[in-house]
Amino acid sequence: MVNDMLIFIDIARQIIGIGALLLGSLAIVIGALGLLRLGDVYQRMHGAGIIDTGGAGLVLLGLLLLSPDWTVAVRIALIGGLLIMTSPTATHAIARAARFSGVEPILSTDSKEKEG
Amino acid sequence: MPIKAISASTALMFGLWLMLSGHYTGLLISLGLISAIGASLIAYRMGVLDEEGLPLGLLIRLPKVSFWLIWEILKSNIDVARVIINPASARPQLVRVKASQKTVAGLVTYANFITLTPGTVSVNVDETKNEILVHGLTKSFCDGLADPEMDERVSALEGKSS
Amino acid sequence: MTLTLWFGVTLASIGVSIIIAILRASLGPTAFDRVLAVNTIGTLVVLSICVYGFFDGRPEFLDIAVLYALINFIGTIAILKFFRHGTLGDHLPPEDKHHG
Repeated sequence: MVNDMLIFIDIARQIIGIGALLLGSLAIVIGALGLLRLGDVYQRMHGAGIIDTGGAGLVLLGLLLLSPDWTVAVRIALIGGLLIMTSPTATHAIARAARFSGVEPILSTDSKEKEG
Repeated sequence: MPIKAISASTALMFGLWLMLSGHYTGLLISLGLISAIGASLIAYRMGVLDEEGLPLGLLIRLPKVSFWLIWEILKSNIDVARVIINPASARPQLVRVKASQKTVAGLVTYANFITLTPGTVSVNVDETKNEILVHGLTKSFCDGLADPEMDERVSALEGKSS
Repeated sequence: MTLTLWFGVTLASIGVSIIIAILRASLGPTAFDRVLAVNTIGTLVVLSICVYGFFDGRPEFLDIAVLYALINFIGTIAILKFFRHGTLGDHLPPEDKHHG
C-alpha cells in the first residue's frame, strides 16, 4: 500500500518535471523570437526577460523534479537563485547604459511621458 | 566588531559549503569552517558587511513574498508572449513609479522585482527622489505598476526597524 | 530511459534559441542589442549545460554551470562599464563614481 503510494508519487513527479521542461522550452523559444521580432532595444529586453524568468525558471524546476539525488537538487536551486538575482540586474544595467548613451526608446503615441 | 553580522555571514557561507561539498570527514569540515570564517573576516575588513551588503532582515522575509512574485511572473510571461506573437500590438511607454522604500537595499529590491516581471524594465533609479523610471511593453503593464501592491510588499520586506 | 528523449527536446529548443540570439547579436543595430543578445546566450548556455548534464547522466556539469552563471553576469557588467567609461573602473571621473 505504502509502496504503491511511493511509486505513484514518483511517476507524478516525473510527469510534472517533463511538463515543466517542455513548457520552459516553449517559453525559451518564444523569448528568443521576441528578441528577434520586437522593435527596439528596450522592447527586446522584455523578450530576454521571458527567457530569464519563465524559460530558465521552468527548465530548472523540471530538472529539480527530475534530479536523481539531493546534491544535484542543491546545485540546481543555487543556479536558479543566482540567475534570479543577477539577470534583472544585468537587464537593468543594459537599459540604463543604453539610455545614458542616448539610445531613445520608440514610444507609442498615447504615452504620457514625453521626456524622461 | 559586529559579531552578529560576521557570524551570520559565516553561517550562510558554511551552510552553502556543507550543501555543495558532499565530503563529510572531520578534516574537510573543519577546513570549510575555517575558510568560511576567513572569508567573513575579509568581507568585514572590506567594509561590505553592513545593512546594504548583508540585509539580513530582508533575506529572512524574502520567502514570504516569493510565491506571490512567482505568480505575478507567470501571469506577465503569458501577456508578453501574446505581444511577441503579434509585435504590432506593442505600445511601449516610459512611466515614473514612486517607491516608498526607506533603505537603499529595499529600493534595489523593488527595482529588481520590477525588472524580474516581464513586460516592465526599470531603466533608471533615482535614489534622491525615490523614483524609478520604468519602460513598459504595453499600457496594461504600466497600469499594473500604478497599483501599489508590489511597492507595499517590498516595503513590508524591509521591516519596521531602520 | 525515456527521459533522455525529453532532455534532448529541451536541448534542441535551447539550441534553436541560441541560433536566433546569435542572429540578433550579428544584426545589431546598436551595441546594446548585441550585449543583450550575448547576455541571453550566456543564460541559455548555463541552462544547456545543466540539461546536458542530465542528458548525459553526468550531473557534475552543474558545478561548471554555477561558475558560468557568475562569469556571464560579471562579463556583461564589465562590457557595459567599458562602453560607458572607456575603462574598467580604475580611473573613473569623480562625478561619475556613484553611477557605477
